[in-house]
Amino acid sequence: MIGIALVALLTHTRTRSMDTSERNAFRISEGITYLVVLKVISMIISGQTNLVEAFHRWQVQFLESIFDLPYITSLLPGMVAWGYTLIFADLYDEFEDRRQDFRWDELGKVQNSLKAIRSKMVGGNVALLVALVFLLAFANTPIDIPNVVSLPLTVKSSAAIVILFTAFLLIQLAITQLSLLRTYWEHDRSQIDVSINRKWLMYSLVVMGVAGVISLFLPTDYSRQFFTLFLWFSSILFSFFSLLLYLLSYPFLLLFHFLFAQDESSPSLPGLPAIQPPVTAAEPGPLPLWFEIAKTIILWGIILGIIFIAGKRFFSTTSTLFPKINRKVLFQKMRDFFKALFHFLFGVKILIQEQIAQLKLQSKPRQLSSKPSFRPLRSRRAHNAREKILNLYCDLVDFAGDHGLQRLRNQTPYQYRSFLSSALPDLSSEIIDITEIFIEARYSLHPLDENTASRIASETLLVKKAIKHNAEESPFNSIPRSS
Amino acid sequence: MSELVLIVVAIFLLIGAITGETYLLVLGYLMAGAYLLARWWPGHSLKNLSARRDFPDHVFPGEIIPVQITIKNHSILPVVWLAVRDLHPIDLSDVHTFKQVITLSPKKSVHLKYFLKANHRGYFPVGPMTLETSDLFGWTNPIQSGIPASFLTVYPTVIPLKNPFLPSNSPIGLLAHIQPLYEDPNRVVGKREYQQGDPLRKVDWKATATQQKLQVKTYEPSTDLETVIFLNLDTEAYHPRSRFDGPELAIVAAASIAAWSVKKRQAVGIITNGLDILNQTGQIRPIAPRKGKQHLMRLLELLARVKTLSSPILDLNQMINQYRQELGWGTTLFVLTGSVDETLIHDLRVTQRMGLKPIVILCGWFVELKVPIHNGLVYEIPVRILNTEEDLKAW
Repeated sequence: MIGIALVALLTHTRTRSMDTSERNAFRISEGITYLVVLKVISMIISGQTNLVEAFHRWQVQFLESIFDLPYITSLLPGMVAWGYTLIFADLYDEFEDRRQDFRWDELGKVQNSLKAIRSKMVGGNVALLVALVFLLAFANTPIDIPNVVSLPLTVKSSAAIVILFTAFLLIQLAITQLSLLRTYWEHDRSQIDVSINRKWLMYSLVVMGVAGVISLFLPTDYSRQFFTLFLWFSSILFSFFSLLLYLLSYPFLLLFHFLFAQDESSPSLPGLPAIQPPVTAAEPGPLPLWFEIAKTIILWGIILGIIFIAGKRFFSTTSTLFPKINRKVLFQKMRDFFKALFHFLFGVKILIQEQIAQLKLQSKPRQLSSKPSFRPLRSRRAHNAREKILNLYCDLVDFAGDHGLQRLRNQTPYQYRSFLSSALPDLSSEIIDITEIFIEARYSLHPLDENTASRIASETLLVKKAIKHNAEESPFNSIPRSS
Repeated sequence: MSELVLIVVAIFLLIGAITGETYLLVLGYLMAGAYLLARWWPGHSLKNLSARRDFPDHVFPGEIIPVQITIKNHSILPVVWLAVRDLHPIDLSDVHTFKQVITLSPKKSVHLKYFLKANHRGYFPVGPMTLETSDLFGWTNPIQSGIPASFLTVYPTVIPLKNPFLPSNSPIGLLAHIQPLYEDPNRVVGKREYQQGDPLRKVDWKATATQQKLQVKTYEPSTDLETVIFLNLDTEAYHPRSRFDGPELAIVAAASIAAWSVKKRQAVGIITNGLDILNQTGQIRPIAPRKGKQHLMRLLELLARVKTLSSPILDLNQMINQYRQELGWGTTLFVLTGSVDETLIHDLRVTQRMGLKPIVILCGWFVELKVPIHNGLVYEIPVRILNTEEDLKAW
């Protein structure tokens, strides 16, 4: 499950830049690949190493032979993990994506949409947790009906799974709450303590730890006895009502008894037709040999063809990705998933600020705005051309802001374009192009290639140079435009 | 969100009770405990916080005011996040609010600092300060507490007057005078031979014994310049295009005259018809002429707080007529206003006949002279026009 979840995360990152049809095709191929891999794993685990025998059995009874109990028991959790990871990663991406909009959009709208996404995430996780608790709790209850079925099923370490999932849910709540608050603070231009992420995580763990320790010392055995007593009282109450119902319905039961007393000798209930023995079909005669051969070839041709095409597509799509799966890449991809968690641990913001400070130190010293500049936590890593363009544009806005061409809070990209063009009339065509491409990257699903990103990068560089040149020339370069 | 937590807790406890799974009961308790802790913690944190704001509360224009906020957490529990917002007028800073988000460890205090600039005179509230916090998981709405506003007094600009011509009718004081009429027996400047007609009390007997000739003391003439400033803050009295700069310039002039008088160890008082922010119900009580720096500070505080009014209880003429009876003979009256008309000249003439010495100072870039300026001069009432602070500097 963990492996499937990790691969799903990797492929999710990869498929973000695909269009819908391409992504769907990739998902189908990915699903078939998982089916095959899981089948192989389940066969190895269950000791079915005789492939010839297995193939013959699949050929005779395809569905029953392939989808046996070990395969289904491995397939279901895998599918759940895959689906859950994709949905959660999508939601998290949407959350982070929408969070960036606080720069452009109204805070109320952004907050509301973030809260809606958060509710979806938390609601989904709570539903899954409740389902998991139900499943594990009742799976741990042995079923023993004499002469019918006896299933002494026990899921090992179910407590650990539920506790871990609950802890994960609480951490998710804490992270998303911090993200929501940060959005507000950054929009409000508050100075934010650099240690708040680390302390937030620390205090979350402390709260959960303290609550856990206290819970462990609680008299749960007494609780069980209390609930047992409660159930016993409930059963008494239920029995009482059953008796009352029986007494109320007794006259009617008596009447029915008198009415149908004559048919006691009948072996079946009145009004129901007698059960007829099933009619067995005649055994088919043996098929000709050429038909069996053709059937085998066609069946396996189709199956292998589908597997080949799906596998080829899957591995070709991820061919550039898989060689990079080493510890470092895995760590980075995990950071995508637990982005906010790692904000706590490593203080990404501090690093970014330090890097910015170093860059500023390296460049020619200039007097910047006296107001402290607070950058939102934003991943500068770009996985594709779209993200590169977004990052380039945001960098340009930040750079221009630092050099006195600050974007007003309520300015749209088009308005800011006009402002920037008026400040740099020689580069108005580049500024228009940058803005148009940014709008396309941000608000459309049009495919964007690397050439466009490279073009925007060079144009951005030109504009930055011009801004810097103007700022150095201007005597008011240290005075930011008032908002 | 909190309802969802309670539902989850209920499900855990119910399934735990039915199936007998202890860990589910523990989880239910854990969630319930976390929920209760999250609800209780922010309130507890806020109750155990103390905040203080320190800054110099009396400054002159142009000074930078460091404001230090000290927040102490008296609890043994940390404060996960605390949004500190301290409001202040936009006149004192580029931004309207100081905003910072911090975390506070147990039993720790934090010092936050920001700077304000006293751009112009006034009486400004700094604050109120709000402290906002909430829980880690978003189960409770943010709660707030805070401390009320403190007030900052920015004195008006005091321009040192070089050598103002301030006439006085009051003899024998601390200011040297050119008229021999106002000779001050405390200011002996020399001796000369006795002349016929010299009073005997001017004879310096020790010098006479030494010189064997009658010697008399010569005295320096002096006056006592008791000053009262009539500050007219009725906006109707100023030219429509000088309704903002005119009264402000009048206040600066009043402060400068008061400072000069106190420096010369003269008594100075103020009567104005403006609005005192601290006493918005009625007329400002006149401040009688007194000497000393402490009195000057009192005057400057009033001038820092005072505001213009469009229709004050007393206009300038009523103010002069009401208070001139209470002023001592020889007192110099500075009438700071934005326009001069026949009525004012007439009232000042009456004042002059009562032994007071009025001087009219018209303030503002645009001043209204509804009578020819020489009318005032005819009656020996000096009229001076101050268009800007530069004119005051040159005075």
